[in-house]
Amino acid sequence: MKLRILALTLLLAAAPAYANQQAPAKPPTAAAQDGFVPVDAPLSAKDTIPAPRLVAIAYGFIWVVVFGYVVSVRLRLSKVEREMETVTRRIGAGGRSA
Amino acid sequence: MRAFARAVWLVTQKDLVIESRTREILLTTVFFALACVLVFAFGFVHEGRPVQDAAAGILWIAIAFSGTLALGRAFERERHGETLRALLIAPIDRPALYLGKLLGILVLLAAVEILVVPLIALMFQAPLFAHPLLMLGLLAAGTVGFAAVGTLFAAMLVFFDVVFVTLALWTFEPVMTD
Amino acid sequence: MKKLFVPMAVVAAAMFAYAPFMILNAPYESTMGLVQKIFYFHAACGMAMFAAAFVSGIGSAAFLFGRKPSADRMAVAGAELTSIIGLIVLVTGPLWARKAWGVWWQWDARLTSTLVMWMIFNAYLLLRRYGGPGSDRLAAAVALFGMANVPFVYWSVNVWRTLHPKTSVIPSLQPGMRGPFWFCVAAFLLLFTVLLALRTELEKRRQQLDELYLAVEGD
Repeated sequence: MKLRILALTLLLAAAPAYANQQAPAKPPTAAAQDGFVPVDAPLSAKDTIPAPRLVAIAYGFIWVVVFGYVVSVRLRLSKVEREMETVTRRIGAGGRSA
Repeated sequence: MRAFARAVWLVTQKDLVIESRTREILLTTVFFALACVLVFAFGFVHEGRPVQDAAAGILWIAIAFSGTLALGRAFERERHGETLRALLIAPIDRPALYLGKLLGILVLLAAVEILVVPLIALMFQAPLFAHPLLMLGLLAAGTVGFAAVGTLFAAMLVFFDVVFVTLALWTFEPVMTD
Repeated sequence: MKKLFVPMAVVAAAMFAYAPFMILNAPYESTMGLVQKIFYFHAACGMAMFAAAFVSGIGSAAFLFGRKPSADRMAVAGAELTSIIGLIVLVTGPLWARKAWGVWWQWDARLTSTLVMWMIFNAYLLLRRYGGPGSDRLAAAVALFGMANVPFVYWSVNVWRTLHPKTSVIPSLQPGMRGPFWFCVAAFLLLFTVLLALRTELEKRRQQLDELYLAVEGD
């Protein structure tokens, strides 16, 4: 079974012209729900939905969110620290006189 | 005329500045709209597939419900800060006050819709770009109509305790009988 | 913890820089191809999200029953991270689904329950932010409820008929996929720990500031 899929995949990869004539939409049946089967080459380079773009967006999004979050926490932290300094100075200067 | 426009802009600006500092109405409204979508998903999805054309109905209900919430909160804020009287005795025309409030709420609702409309389209597999101009026009007309009626009644009802119930009654009735 | 923070942050950053290369070298999946590689971050994020939900829930329980401010800090940090990491899970998932299932979103048990859990923790954050005085205890109950959702989310794929891959995917991973996956899980859990420490520190500072203000007002 695995060999057959591999052979089919290689065939599809080798003949994109042929692959284009195939019906592009596979029914959304259970796509590998129980386990993932590894193969050596990606399915076919020409596809209706560009996988590389989706993967790039997904990874880019993760990086942006993580960096954004770190920056946001740092900004909030420095804001709180600045405020603390002002309040401490006010206490040092004698209560609410400032 | 220019003084009128300036007064409108000042009222809008005031609301937007307050909102940009707390972001309370925006965040709670988006959250409420999402919660609406979630509840409707339980009702309108069978075997993982949504009912045909459910997206449009879900979208309008989400907008109407969360819009009512936003309207109520926008005036509740004035009542809470006891600034409504200050607004009323300010030397500006009442229509300017109304338009300013309306514009502020429209900006808020637009921000909510920018998030919620594509989300509902994705989640219920609705063709978002099938008729882009028609959809934009409908959304704009519906939102402006809803907000125009809603702002008026929210302003009138702000001193009543049952503001949400009555507001819902008055704003949904014109929307539904349209 | 403070001594460990910088080395941990450095290791987490290094792991993140290296992870894409490991994923690039991992074999392609037979039916889904390239897009399946989203899995390495998506599932790892899912695990980190569960961890964050547990931290928030356990912190909330400790705060509810023990009244410790430190537990409350953990709960807040955990809830915020559940929301942030959950957002990553909920965005990378549809990107994968678009290719694998042909639709962005499917209202099946796993996706819906994940969304519900994410919304619960967002509700927690909104409550903490706008709830006013006394909302911390109510919010703690919300976080407990959110944590109770975790097992439900986890097993939903095995109990109901869904499109989402089952939990059996992970123990049955082939050697070429197993390495990168667990590497990513380790990277995300480490990142989660670092972010948790950072966020807890912020909450600690905030509490100190509140106490300072109280001291000023008390004068």
